[in-house]
Amino acid sequence: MCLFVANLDKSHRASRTSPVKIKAFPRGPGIAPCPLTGNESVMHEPSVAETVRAIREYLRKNPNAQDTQAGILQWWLTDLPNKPRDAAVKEALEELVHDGFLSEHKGKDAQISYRMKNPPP
Amino acid sequence: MKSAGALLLDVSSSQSLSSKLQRILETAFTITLSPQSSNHADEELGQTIRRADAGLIFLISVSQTLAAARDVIAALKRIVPEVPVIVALEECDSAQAFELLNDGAADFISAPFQEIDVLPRAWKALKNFLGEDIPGQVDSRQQQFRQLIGQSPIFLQQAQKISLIASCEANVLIVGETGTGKELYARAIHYGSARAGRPFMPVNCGAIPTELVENELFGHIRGAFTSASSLQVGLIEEANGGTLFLDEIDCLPVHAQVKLLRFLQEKEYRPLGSSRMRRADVRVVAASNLNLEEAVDMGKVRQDLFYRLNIISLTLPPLRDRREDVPLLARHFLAKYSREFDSQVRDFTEEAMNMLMIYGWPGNVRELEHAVERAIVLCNKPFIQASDIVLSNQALAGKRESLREAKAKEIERFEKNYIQGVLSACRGNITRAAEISQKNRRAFWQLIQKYRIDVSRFKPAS
Repeated sequence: MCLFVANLDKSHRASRTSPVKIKAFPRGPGIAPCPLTGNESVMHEPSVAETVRAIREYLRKNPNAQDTQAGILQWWLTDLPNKPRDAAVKEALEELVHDGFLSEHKGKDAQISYRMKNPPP
Repeated sequence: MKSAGALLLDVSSSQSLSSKLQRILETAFTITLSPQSSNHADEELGQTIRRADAGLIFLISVSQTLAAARDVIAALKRIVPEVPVIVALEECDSAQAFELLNDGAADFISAPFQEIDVLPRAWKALKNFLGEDIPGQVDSRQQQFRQLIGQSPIFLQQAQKISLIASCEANVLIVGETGTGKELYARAIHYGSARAGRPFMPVNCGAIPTELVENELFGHIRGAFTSASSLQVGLIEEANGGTLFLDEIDCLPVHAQVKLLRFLQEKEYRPLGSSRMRRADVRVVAASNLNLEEAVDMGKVRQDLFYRLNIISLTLPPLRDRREDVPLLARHFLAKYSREFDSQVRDFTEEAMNMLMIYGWPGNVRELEHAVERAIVLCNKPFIQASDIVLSNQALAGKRESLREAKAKEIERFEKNYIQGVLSACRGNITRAAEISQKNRRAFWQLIQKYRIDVSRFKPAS
Protein backbone atom coordinates (compact mmCIF):
# COMPACT_ATOMS: atom_id res chain seq x y z
CA MET A 1 0.00 0.00 0.00
CA CYS A 2 2.66 2.52 0.93
CA LEU A 3 6.13 3.25 -0.32
CA PHE A 4 8.81 2.78 2.27
CA VAL A 5 12.21 2.91 0.72
CA ALA A 6 14.75 2.29 3.41
CA ASN A 7 15.12 -0.01 6.36
CA LEU A 8 16.72 2.31 8.85
CA ASP A 9 15.73 0.60 12.05
CA LYS A 10 18.44 1.17 14.63
CA SER A 11 18.02 -2.39 15.89
CA HIS A 12 19.64 -3.64 12.72
CA ARG A 13 23.13 -3.14 14.05
CA ALA A 14 25.44 -6.11 13.66
CA SER A 15 27.20 -7.34 16.74
CA ARG A 16 30.44 -9.32 16.62
CA THR A 17 28.59 -12.56 17.15
CA SER A 18 25.61 -11.72 14.96
CA PRO A 19 25.36 -13.59 11.68
CA VAL A 20 23.58 -10.57 10.13
CA LYS A 21 25.67 -8.88 7.51
CA ILE A 22 25.90 -5.12 7.75
CA LYS A 23 24.71 -3.38 4.65
CA ALA A 24 26.78 -0.31 3.94
CA PHE A 25 25.11 2.69 2.34
CA PRO A 26 27.96 4.88 1.13
CA ARG A 27 25.64 6.99 -0.99
CA GLY A 28 22.57 7.26 1.19
CA PRO A 29 19.88 4.81 2.25
CA GLY A 30 19.24 3.07 -1.04
CA ILE A 31 18.70 -0.64 -0.95
CA ALA A 32 18.41 -1.66 -4.57
CA PRO A 33 21.16 -3.95 -5.84
CA CYS A 34 23.11 -2.97 -8.95
CA PRO A 35 21.69 -5.03 -11.84
CA LEU A 36 25.18 -5.46 -13.30
CA THR A 37 27.16 -6.57 -10.25
CA GLY A 38 24.42 -7.55 -7.81
CA ASN A 39 26.34 -5.53 -5.24
CA GLU A 40 23.85 -4.47 -2.61
CA SER A 41 26.13 -1.83 -1.19
CA VAL A 42 25.64 0.43 -4.19
CA MET A 43 22.27 1.62 -5.34
CA HIS A 44 22.02 1.69 -9.10
CA GLU A 45 20.72 5.00 -10.29
CA PRO A 46 19.55 5.28 -13.85
CA SER A 47 21.92 7.38 -15.92
CA VAL A 48 20.84 10.14 -18.26
CA ALA A 49 21.23 7.72 -21.18
CA GLU A 50 19.02 5.11 -19.50
CA THR A 51 16.46 7.79 -18.72
CA VAL A 52 16.47 8.94 -22.35
CA ARG A 53 15.90 5.36 -23.48
CA ALA A 54 13.07 4.91 -20.99
CA ILE A 55 11.30 8.09 -22.16
CA ARG A 56 11.68 7.06 -25.81
CA GLU A 57 10.28 3.62 -24.98
CA TYR A 58 7.31 5.10 -23.12
CA LEU A 59 6.50 7.36 -26.06
CA ARG A 60 6.90 4.51 -28.50
CA LYS A 61 4.03 2.80 -26.68
CA ASN A 62 2.14 6.02 -25.92
CA PRO A 63 2.91 8.46 -28.75
CA ASN A 64 0.18 10.92 -27.72
CA ALA A 65 1.26 11.24 -24.09
CA GLN A 66 2.18 14.65 -22.71
CA ASP A 67 3.18 15.77 -19.24
CA THR A 68 5.54 17.97 -17.23
CA GLN A 69 8.93 16.88 -15.89
CA ALA A 70 7.40 15.97 -12.54
CA GLY A 71 4.74 13.82 -14.17
CA ILE A 72 7.25 12.16 -16.45
CA LEU A 73 9.45 11.26 -13.48
CA GLN A 74 6.50 9.86 -11.51
CA TRP A 75 4.63 8.01 -14.25
CA TRP A 76 6.61 7.44 -17.45
CA LEU A 77 9.69 5.83 -15.93
CA THR A 78 8.06 3.12 -13.85
CA ASP A 79 9.82 0.39 -15.87
CA LEU A 80 13.23 1.54 -14.61
CA PRO A 81 14.37 -0.43 -11.54
CA ASN A 82 14.87 2.81 -9.61
CA LYS A 83 13.80 6.39 -10.03
CA PRO A 84 16.41 8.61 -11.65
CA ARG A 85 17.39 11.87 -10.02
CA ASP A 86 15.49 15.03 -10.93
CA ALA A 87 18.63 16.37 -12.55
CA ALA A 88 18.96 13.26 -14.75
CA VAL A 89 15.38 13.60 -15.97
CA LYS A 90 15.90 17.29 -16.69
CA GLU A 91 19.03 16.55 -18.66
CA ALA A 92 17.33 13.69 -20.54
CA LEU A 93 14.45 15.95 -21.53
CA GLU A 94 16.81 18.69 -22.69
CA GLU A 95 18.68 16.18 -24.81
CA LEU A 96 15.47 14.85 -26.38
CA VAL A 97 14.26 18.39 -27.14
CA HIS A 98 17.64 19.24 -28.63
CA ASP A 99 17.52 16.10 -30.79
CA GLY A 100 14.09 17.08 -32.09
CA PHE A 101 12.36 14.06 -30.58
CA LEU A 102 10.35 16.06 -28.04
CA SER A 103 8.68 19.43 -28.24
CA GLU A 104 8.25 21.76 -25.28
CA HIS A 105 5.05 23.58 -24.50
CA LYS A 106 5.38 26.52 -22.16
CA GLY A 107 2.20 27.67 -20.49
CA LYS A 108 1.45 31.17 -19.26
CA ASP A 109 1.64 29.74 -15.73
CA ALA A 110 5.33 28.92 -16.43
CA GLN A 111 4.72 25.16 -16.48
CA ILE A 112 6.52 23.29 -19.25
CA SER A 113 5.11 20.08 -20.67
CA TYR A 114 6.70 17.72 -23.16
CA ARG A 115 5.29 15.63 -25.97
CA MET A 116 6.60 13.78 -28.99
CA LYS A 117 7.37 16.28 -31.73
CA ASN A 118 6.18 14.11 -34.61
CA PRO A 119 3.92 11.36 -33.31
CA PRO A 120 3.03 8.69 -35.86
CA PRO A 121 -0.40 9.21 -37.49
CA MET B 1 -21.27 1.52 -38.44
CA LYS B 2 -23.03 0.11 -35.41
CA SER B 3 -21.11 -1.85 -32.81
CA ALA B 4 -22.38 -4.36 -30.22
CA GLY B 5 -25.90 -4.22 -28.85
CA ALA B 6 -26.82 -2.13 -25.85
CA LEU B 7 -29.60 -2.86 -23.41
CA LEU B 8 -31.57 -0.08 -21.73
CA LEU B 9 -32.98 -1.01 -18.34
CA ASP B 10 -35.26 1.58 -16.82
CA VAL B 11 -36.08 1.72 -13.11
CA SER B 12 -36.90 5.43 -13.19
CA SER B 13 -40.32 5.33 -14.86
CA SER B 14 -39.20 8.55 -16.53
CA GLN B 15 -40.16 8.35 -20.19
CA SER B 16 -38.29 11.54 -21.01
CA LEU B 17 -34.94 10.30 -19.65
CA SER B 18 -35.27 6.97 -21.36
CA SER B 19 -36.29 8.38 -24.73
CA LYS B 20 -33.55 11.02 -24.71
CA LEU B 21 -30.90 8.42 -24.05
CA GLN B 22 -32.37 6.04 -26.60
CA ARG B 23 -32.23 8.70 -29.33
CA ILE B 24 -28.52 9.24 -28.69
CA LEU B 25 -27.57 5.59 -28.45
CA GLU B 26 -29.53 4.53 -31.53
CA THR B 27 -27.02 6.39 -33.69
CA ALA B 28 -24.28 3.96 -32.69
CA PHE B 29 -25.81 0.87 -31.07
CA THR B 30 -28.48 -1.69 -31.68
CA ILE B 31 -30.78 -0.90 -28.78
CA THR B 32 -33.00 -3.25 -26.83
CA LEU B 33 -35.41 -1.78 -24.31
CA SER B 34 -36.29 -3.93 -21.38
CA PRO B 35 -39.97 -3.99 -20.52
CA GLN B 36 -40.95 -1.50 -17.85
CA SER B 37 -41.13 -3.72 -14.82
CA SER B 38 -40.33 -3.42 -11.16
CA ASN B 39 -39.53 -7.11 -11.07
CA HIS B 40 -35.99 -7.55 -12.21
CA ALA B 41 -35.58 -11.10 -11.04
CA ASP B 42 -32.31 -12.75 -12.01
CA GLU B 43 -33.89 -15.23 -14.40
CA GLU B 44 -35.92 -12.62 -16.23
CA LEU B 45 -32.94 -10.28 -16.41
CA GLY B 46 -30.72 -13.05 -17.71
CA GLN B 47 -33.20 -13.86 -20.49
CA THR B 48 -33.50 -10.20 -21.44
CA ILE B 49 -29.73 -9.79 -21.66
CA ARG B 50 -29.25 -12.95 -23.70
CA ARG B 51 -31.96 -11.93 -26.17
CA ALA B 52 -30.39 -8.49 -26.53
CA ASP B 53 -26.89 -9.90 -27.05
CA ALA B 54 -25.80 -6.80 -25.16
CA GLY B 55 -22.19 -5.77 -24.81
CA LEU B 56 -23.24 -2.76 -22.77
CA ILE B 57 -26.07 -2.06 -20.33
CA PHE B 58 -27.52 1.36 -19.55
CA LEU B 59 -29.47 1.54 -16.33
CA ILE B 60 -31.72 4.58 -16.09
CA SER B 61 -32.64 5.88 -12.68
CA VAL B 62 -33.68 8.94 -10.71
CA SER B 63 -32.75 9.79 -7.09
CA GLN B 64 -35.94 8.25 -5.73
CA THR B 65 -35.26 4.91 -7.40
CA LEU B 66 -31.55 4.74 -6.61
CA ALA B 67 -32.02 1.89 -4.14
CA ALA B 68 -33.77 -0.16 -6.84
CA ALA B 69 -30.97 0.72 -9.28
CA ARG B 70 -28.38 -0.54 -6.83
CA ASP B 71 -30.30 -3.83 -6.49
CA VAL B 72 -30.33 -4.18 -10.27
CA ILE B 73 -26.58 -3.53 -10.47
CA ALA B 74 -26.02 -6.25 -7.87
CA ALA B 75 -28.17 -8.63 -9.92
CA LEU B 76 -26.34 -7.76 -13.13
CA LYS B 77 -22.98 -8.37 -11.44
CA ARG B 78 -24.25 -11.84 -10.51
CA ILE B 79 -25.59 -12.73 -13.95
CA VAL B 80 -23.21 -10.99 -16.35
CA PRO B 81 -20.28 -9.67 -14.30
CA GLU B 82 -18.19 -8.93 -17.38
CA VAL B 83 -20.73 -6.67 -19.11
CA PRO B 84 -20.18 -3.00 -18.23
CA VAL B 85 -23.12 -1.17 -16.68
CA ILE B 86 -23.42 2.58 -17.14
CA VAL B 87 -25.93 4.29 -14.87
CA ALA B 88 -27.84 7.21 -16.39
CA LEU B 89 -29.24 9.54 -13.74
CA GLU B 90 -31.31 12.66 -13.67
CA GLU B 91 -28.95 14.12 -11.07
CA CYS B 92 -26.35 12.68 -8.79
CA ASP B 93 -24.23 13.82 -5.91
CA SER B 94 -20.72 12.69 -5.12
CA ALA B 95 -21.71 10.25 -2.37
CA GLN B 96 -24.26 8.54 -4.63
CA ALA B 97 -21.69 8.39 -7.42
CA PHE B 98 -19.23 6.56 -5.19
CA GLU B 99 -21.93 4.15 -4.06
CA LEU B 100 -22.75 3.25 -7.64
CA LEU B 101 -19.11 2.82 -8.62
CA ASN B 102 -18.52 0.71 -5.50
CA ASP B 103 -21.49 -1.45 -6.43
CA GLY B 104 -19.83 -2.22 -9.75
CA ALA B 105 -21.08 0.40 -12.19
CA ALA B 106 -18.48 1.07 -14.88
CA ASP B 107 -19.46 4.72 -15.23
CA PHE B 108 -22.37 7.06 -14.69
CA ILE B 109 -23.77 9.97 -16.63
CA SER B 110 -26.14 12.65 -15.47
CA ALA B 111 -28.69 14.67 -17.40
CA PRO B 112 -28.69 16.55 -19.68
CA PHE B 113 -27.42 13.75 -21.90
CA GLN B 114 -25.26 14.89 -24.77
CA GLU B 115 -24.21 12.68 -27.64
CA ILE B 116 -20.66 14.07 -27.49
CA ASP B 117 -20.45 12.92 -23.86
CA VAL B 118 -22.47 9.69 -23.84
CA LEU B 119 -21.08 7.95 -26.91
CA PRO B 120 -17.33 8.25 -26.15
CA ARG B 121 -18.00 6.92 -22.66
CA ALA B 122 -20.02 4.05 -24.03
CA TRP B 123 -17.27 3.14 -26.49
CA LYS B 124 -14.63 3.27 -23.78
CA ALA B 125 -16.69 0.95 -21.58
CA LEU B 126 -17.21 -1.36 -24.54
CA LYS B 127 -13.47 -1.40 -25.26
CA ASN B 128 -12.91 -2.71 -21.77
CA PHE B 129 -15.57 -5.35 -22.33
CA LEU B 130 -13.96 -6.44 -25.59
CA GLY B 131 -10.66 -6.75 -23.76
CA GLU B 132 -8.80 -4.11 -25.72
CA ASP B 133 -5.69 -2.81 -24.00
CA ILE B 134 -5.71 0.81 -23.07
CA PRO B 135 -2.29 2.24 -24.00
CA GLY B 136 -0.44 3.67 -21.04
CA GLN B 137 -3.01 2.61 -18.47
CA VAL B 138 -1.23 1.38 -15.39
CA ASP B 139 -2.30 -1.37 -13.09
CA SER B 140 -4.14 1.20 -11.06
CA ARG B 141 -3.84 -0.10 -7.54
CA GLN B 142 -0.19 -0.99 -7.78
CA GLN B 143 1.12 2.14 -9.45
CA GLN B 144 -1.18 4.62 -7.81
CA PHE B 145 -0.33 3.40 -4.38
CA ARG B 146 3.37 3.63 -5.17
CA GLN B 147 2.93 7.34 -5.65
CA LEU B 148 0.53 7.99 -2.78
CA ILE B 149 2.16 7.51 0.57
CA GLY B 150 0.34 6.88 3.78
CA GLN B 151 -1.30 4.28 5.95
CA SER B 152 -3.59 6.29 8.22
CA PRO B 153 -7.31 5.47 7.95
CA ILE B 154 -8.18 9.00 6.87
CA PHE B 155 -5.62 8.86 4.05
CA LEU B 156 -6.69 5.38 2.92
CA GLN B 157 -10.33 6.42 2.85
CA GLN B 158 -9.53 8.93 0.09
CA ALA B 159 -6.77 7.02 -1.67
CA GLN B 160 -8.97 3.97 -2.14
CA LYS B 161 -11.41 6.03 -4.14
CA ILE B 162 -8.81 6.66 -6.84
CA SER B 163 -9.38 3.35 -8.65
CA LEU B 164 -13.13 3.93 -8.76
CA ILE B 165 -12.72 7.49 -9.97
CA ALA B 166 -10.18 6.47 -12.59
CA SER B 167 -12.51 3.81 -13.98
CA CYS B 168 -15.23 6.30 -14.86
CA GLU B 169 -15.24 9.43 -17.02
CA ALA B 170 -16.89 11.96 -14.76
CA ASN B 171 -15.32 15.32 -13.98
CA VAL B 172 -13.67 15.52 -10.59
CA LEU B 173 -13.24 18.21 -7.98
CA ILE B 174 -10.34 17.81 -5.56
CA VAL B 175 -10.40 19.99 -2.49
CA GLY B 176 -7.66 20.30 0.07
CA GLU B 177 -5.36 22.76 1.77
CA THR B 178 -2.23 23.86 -0.02
CA GLY B 179 0.43 21.16 -0.09
CA THR B 180 -1.90 18.18 0.42
CA GLY B 181 -1.11 16.61 -2.95
CA LYS B 182 -3.99 17.61 -5.21
CA GLU B 183 -1.89 17.39 -8.38
CA LEU B 184 -0.53 14.02 -7.30
CA TYR B 185 -4.04 12.66 -6.95
CA ALA B 186 -5.09 14.20 -10.26
CA ARG B 187 -2.26 12.36 -11.99
CA ALA B 188 -3.09 9.12 -10.22
CA ILE B 189 -6.63 9.42 -11.61
CA HIS B 190 -5.35 10.17 -15.12
CA TYR B 191 -2.77 7.39 -15.28
CA GLY B 192 -5.20 4.86 -13.82
CA SER B 193 -7.83 5.71 -16.40
CA ALA B 194 -8.48 4.91 -20.03
CA ARG B 195 -6.91 8.30 -20.88
CA ALA B 196 -3.50 7.30 -19.55
CA GLY B 197 -1.69 7.31 -22.91
CA ARG B 198 -3.00 10.76 -23.75
CA PRO B 199 -1.99 14.22 -22.49
CA PHE B 200 -2.15 15.29 -18.87
CA MET B 201 -2.23 19.10 -18.93
CA PRO B 202 -1.87 20.83 -15.56
CA VAL B 203 -2.78 24.52 -15.39
CA ASN B 204 -2.49 26.80 -12.41
CA CYS B 205 -5.37 29.22 -12.96
CA GLY B 206 -4.05 31.48 -10.20
CA ALA B 207 -0.70 31.94 -11.92
CA ILE B 208 -2.06 33.18 -15.24
CA PRO B 209 -2.83 36.90 -15.65
CA THR B 210 -6.61 37.35 -15.68
CA GLU B 211 -6.69 38.86 -19.16
CA LEU B 212 -4.79 35.88 -20.62
CA VAL B 213 -6.75 33.01 -19.06
CA GLU B 214 -9.42 32.70 -21.73
CA ASN B 215 -6.83 32.74 -24.51
CA GLU B 216 -4.70 30.19 -22.70
CA LEU B 217 -7.59 27.74 -22.27
CA PHE B 218 -9.43 28.19 -25.56
CA GLY B 219 -6.78 29.53 -27.94
CA HIS B 220 -7.25 32.06 -30.71
CA ILE B 221 -7.26 32.32 -34.48
CA ARG B 222 -5.00 34.56 -36.49
CA GLY B 223 -6.18 38.14 -36.35
CA ALA B 224 -8.34 37.60 -33.24
CA PHE B 225 -6.67 40.66 -31.72
CA THR B 226 -3.87 43.04 -32.60
CA SER B 227 -0.90 40.84 -31.70
CA ALA B 228 -2.51 37.58 -32.85
CA SER B 229 -0.29 37.00 -35.88
CA SER B 230 -0.87 33.25 -35.93
CA LEU B 231 -3.19 30.57 -34.74
CA GLN B 232 -2.68 29.51 -31.13
CA VAL B 233 -3.98 26.21 -29.90
CA GLY B 234 -5.56 26.39 -26.45
CA LEU B 235 -4.97 24.00 -23.61
CA ILE B 236 -8.33 22.32 -24.14
CA GLU B 237 -7.33 21.30 -27.65
CA GLU B 238 -3.87 20.26 -26.46
CA ALA B 239 -5.46 18.03 -23.84
CA ASN B 240 -7.81 16.43 -26.36
CA GLY B 241 -8.33 12.79 -25.48
CA GLY B 242 -6.67 13.30 -22.13
CA THR B 243 -7.09 15.15 -18.84
CA LEU B 244 -7.05 18.86 -18.12
CA PHE B 245 -6.12 19.63 -14.51
CA LEU B 246 -7.31 23.09 -13.45
CA ASP B 247 -5.63 23.96 -10.19
CA GLU B 248 -6.94 26.93 -8.17
CA ILE B 249 -10.17 26.84 -10.15
CA ASP B 250 -11.54 29.54 -7.85
CA CYS B 251 -9.09 31.99 -9.47
CA LEU B 252 -10.66 31.59 -12.90
CA PRO B 253 -12.27 34.90 -13.93
CA VAL B 254 -16.03 34.84 -14.33
CA HIS B 255 -16.05 35.21 -18.12
CA ALA B 256 -13.76 32.19 -18.43
CA GLN B 257 -16.00 30.27 -16.00
CA VAL B 258 -18.95 30.82 -18.34
CA LYS B 259 -17.05 29.40 -21.29
CA LEU B 260 -15.71 26.53 -19.23
CA LEU B 261 -19.23 25.69 -18.07
CA ARG B 262 -20.44 25.57 -21.65
CA PHE B 263 -17.57 23.27 -22.51
CA LEU B 264 -18.37 20.97 -19.60
CA GLN B 265 -22.02 20.81 -20.66
CA GLU B 266 -21.70 20.67 -24.43
CA LYS B 267 -18.11 19.50 -24.96
CA GLU B 268 -17.67 22.43 -27.35
CA TYR B 269 -15.99 25.83 -27.19
CA ARG B 270 -15.07 28.76 -29.41
CA PRO B 271 -11.46 29.98 -29.73
CA LEU B 272 -11.08 33.74 -29.46
CA GLY B 273 -11.93 35.45 -32.69
CA SER B 274 -13.45 32.36 -34.28
CA SER B 275 -17.05 32.04 -35.39
CA ARG B 276 -16.88 28.25 -35.41
CA MET B 277 -17.41 26.01 -32.43
CA ARG B 278 -14.86 23.29 -31.87
CA ARG B 279 -15.22 20.06 -29.99
CA ALA B 280 -12.83 18.26 -27.69
CA ASP B 281 -12.91 15.11 -25.63
CA VAL B 282 -11.32 16.18 -22.37
CA ARG B 283 -11.82 15.05 -18.81
CA VAL B 284 -11.62 17.97 -16.40
CA VAL B 285 -10.15 17.54 -12.95
CA ALA B 286 -10.40 20.76 -10.97
CA ALA B 287 -8.83 21.60 -7.64
CA SER B 288 -9.07 24.28 -5.01
CA ASN B 289 -7.78 24.93 -1.54
CA LEU B 290 -10.91 26.89 -0.74
CA ASN B 291 -14.21 25.53 0.43
CA LEU B 292 -15.92 26.01 -2.93
CA GLU B 293 -19.37 26.22 -1.40
CA GLU B 294 -18.19 29.31 0.43
CA ALA B 295 -16.56 30.58 -2.76
CA VAL B 296 -19.96 30.25 -4.42
CA ASP B 297 -21.57 32.18 -1.55
CA MET B 298 -18.98 34.91 -1.97
CA GLY B 299 -19.62 35.08 -5.69
CA LYS B 300 -16.11 33.96 -6.66
CA VAL B 301 -17.32 30.79 -8.36
CA ARG B 302 -20.53 30.30 -10.32
CA GLN B 303 -22.92 27.90 -8.68
CA ASP B 304 -23.75 26.10 -11.92
CA LEU B 305 -20.04 25.59 -12.64
CA PHE B 306 -19.55 24.22 -9.13
CA TYR B 307 -22.35 21.70 -9.63
CA ARG B 308 -20.89 20.60 -12.96
CA LEU B 309 -17.43 20.07 -11.48
CA ASN B 310 -18.62 18.52 -8.24
CA ILE B 311 -19.95 15.35 -9.86
CA ILE B 312 -17.24 13.45 -8.04
CA SER B 313 -15.36 15.14 -5.25
CA LEU B 314 -12.33 14.17 -3.26
CA THR B 315 -11.35 15.97 -0.06
CA LEU B 316 -7.73 15.54 0.89
CA PRO B 317 -7.01 15.63 4.61
CA PRO B 318 -4.48 18.09 6.01
CA LEU B 319 -1.28 16.52 7.34
CA ARG B 320 -2.17 17.45 10.93
CA ASP B 321 -5.17 15.09 10.64
CA ARG B 322 -2.93 12.22 9.58
CA ARG B 323 0.06 12.62 11.88
CA GLU B 324 0.74 8.90 11.90
CA ASP B 325 1.84 9.27 8.27
CA VAL B 326 4.54 11.82 9.13
CA PRO B 327 7.33 9.28 9.79
CA LEU B 328 6.54 7.43 6.55
CA LEU B 329 6.54 10.61 4.53
CA ALA B 330 9.60 12.02 6.26
CA ARG B 331 11.60 8.88 5.50
CA HIS B 332 10.40 8.86 1.92
CA PHE B 333 11.71 12.41 1.45
CA LEU B 334 14.88 11.50 3.34
CA ALA B 335 15.56 8.74 0.83
CA LYS B 336 14.81 11.02 -2.10
CA TYR B 337 17.00 13.94 -1.06
CA SER B 338 19.83 11.85 0.35
CA ARG B 339 20.12 10.41 -3.11
CA GLU B 340 19.79 13.78 -4.85
CA PHE B 341 22.49 15.38 -2.71
CA ASP B 342 24.75 12.35 -2.31
CA SER B 343 24.28 12.67 1.41
CA GLN B 344 25.30 10.25 4.16
CA VAL B 345 22.18 10.93 6.19
CA ARG B 346 20.37 7.73 7.10
CA ASP B 347 17.59 8.54 9.54
CA PHE B 348 16.17 10.92 12.13
CA THR B 349 16.91 10.91 15.83
CA GLU B 350 13.94 10.18 18.03
CA GLU B 351 13.87 13.81 19.18
CA ALA B 352 13.86 15.06 15.58
CA MET B 353 11.06 12.70 14.62
CA ASN B 354 9.01 13.79 17.64
CA MET B 355 9.47 17.38 16.56
CA LEU B 356 8.10 16.52 13.13
CA MET B 357 5.20 14.64 14.68
CA ILE B 358 3.97 17.47 16.90
CA TYR B 359 4.37 20.37 14.48
CA GLY B 360 1.14 21.71 12.95
CA TRP B 361 2.23 21.63 9.27
CA PRO B 362 0.19 24.52 7.91
CA GLY B 363 1.87 23.87 4.55
CA ASN B 364 1.12 20.15 4.78
CA VAL B 365 3.12 17.55 2.88
CA ARG B 366 4.91 20.09 0.73
CA GLU B 367 6.17 21.89 3.83
CA LEU B 368 7.34 18.59 5.31
CA GLU B 369 9.22 17.81 2.10
CA HIS B 370 10.99 21.19 2.17
CA ALA B 371 11.81 20.81 5.87
CA VAL B 372 13.44 17.41 5.25
CA GLU B 373 15.30 18.72 2.22
CA ARG B 374 16.67 21.64 4.26
CA ALA B 375 17.61 19.34 7.13
CA ILE B 376 19.63 17.08 4.84
CA VAL B 377 21.55 20.07 3.51
CA LEU B 378 22.27 21.31 7.04
CA CYS B 379 23.08 17.94 8.54
CA ASN B 380 26.60 16.55 8.37
CA LYS B 381 25.95 13.49 10.53
CA PRO B 382 24.26 10.16 9.78
CA PHE B 383 21.16 11.15 11.77
CA ILE B 384 19.16 14.34 11.48
CA GLN B 385 18.97 16.12 14.84
CA ALA B 386 16.17 18.34 16.06
CA SER B 387 18.53 21.29 15.66
CA ASP B 388 18.85 20.55 11.93
CA ILE B 389 15.12 20.99 11.40
CA VAL B 390 14.06 24.51 10.54
CA LEU B 391 10.33 25.07 10.62
CA SER B 392 8.65 28.10 9.11
CA ASN B 393 7.05 29.21 12.31
CA GLN B 394 9.00 28.08 15.34
CA ALA B 395 6.25 29.32 17.61
CA LEU B 396 4.01 26.60 16.29
CA ALA B 397 6.55 23.88 16.91
CA GLY B 398 5.68 21.98 20.02
CA LYS B 399 2.17 23.36 20.14
CA ARG B 400 -0.48 20.74 20.13
CA GLU B 401 -4.19 21.13 20.35
CA SER B 402 -5.69 20.55 23.76
CA LEU B 403 -8.30 17.83 24.11
CA ARG B 404 -10.99 20.49 24.48
CA GLU B 405 -9.91 22.30 21.27
CA ALA B 406 -9.69 19.09 19.27
CA LYS B 407 -13.06 17.92 20.59
CA ALA B 408 -14.72 21.25 19.75
CA LYS B 409 -13.42 21.07 16.20
CA GLU B 410 -14.67 17.51 15.72
CA ILE B 411 -18.10 18.43 17.08
CA GLU B 412 -18.36 21.37 14.68
CA ARG B 413 -17.33 19.22 11.77
CA PHE B 414 -19.87 16.54 12.71
CA GLU B 415 -22.67 19.08 13.20
CA LYS B 416 -22.08 20.70 9.83
CA ASN B 417 -21.92 17.36 7.98
CA TYR B 418 -25.02 16.11 9.79
CA ILE B 419 -27.09 19.18 8.94
CA GLN B 420 -26.01 19.08 5.30
CA GLY B 421 -26.86 15.38 5.14
CA VAL B 422 -30.32 15.74 6.62
CA LEU B 423 -31.12 18.77 4.44
CA SER B 424 -30.07 16.77 1.40
CA ALA B 425 -32.30 13.88 2.43
CA CYS B 426 -35.23 16.30 2.98
CA ARG B 427 -34.50 18.13 -0.27
CA GLY B 428 -34.03 21.42 1.51
CA ASN B 429 -37.17 21.28 3.64
CA ILE B 430 -36.00 22.89 6.88
CA THR B 431 -39.09 21.99 8.91
CA ARG B 432 -38.83 18.34 8.01
CA ALA B 433 -35.06 18.30 8.57
CA ALA B 434 -35.52 19.85 12.03
CA GLU B 435 -38.12 17.19 12.92
CA ILE B 436 -35.81 14.37 11.91
CA SER B 437 -32.97 15.95 13.89
CA GLN B 438 -35.30 16.33 16.89
CA LYS B 439 -34.45 19.99 17.21
CA ASN B 440 -36.89 22.86 17.18
CA ARG B 441 -36.99 24.71 13.92
CA ARG B 442 -35.49 27.93 15.30
CA ALA B 443 -32.47 26.15 16.79
CA PHE B 444 -32.00 24.21 13.57
CA TRP B 445 -32.10 27.43 11.55
CA GLN B 446 -29.49 28.97 13.88
CA LEU B 447 -27.16 26.09 13.13
CA ILE B 448 -27.71 26.59 9.40
CA GLN B 449 -26.71 30.21 9.82
CA LYS B 450 -23.75 29.36 12.05
CA TYR B 451 -22.25 27.12 9.38
CA ARG B 452 -23.36 29.37 6.50
CA ILE B 453 -25.11 26.52 4.74
CA ASP B 454 -26.90 27.44 1.54
CA VAL B 455 -30.24 25.62 1.84
CA SER B 456 -31.24 26.42 -1.74
CA ARG B 457 -28.69 24.00 -3.15
CA PHE B 458 -30.53 21.09 -1.54
CA LYS B 459 -33.86 22.04 -3.03
CA PRO B 460 -34.88 20.30 -6.23
CA ALA B 461 -34.21 22.30 -9.38
CA SER B 462 -37.33 24.06 -10.55
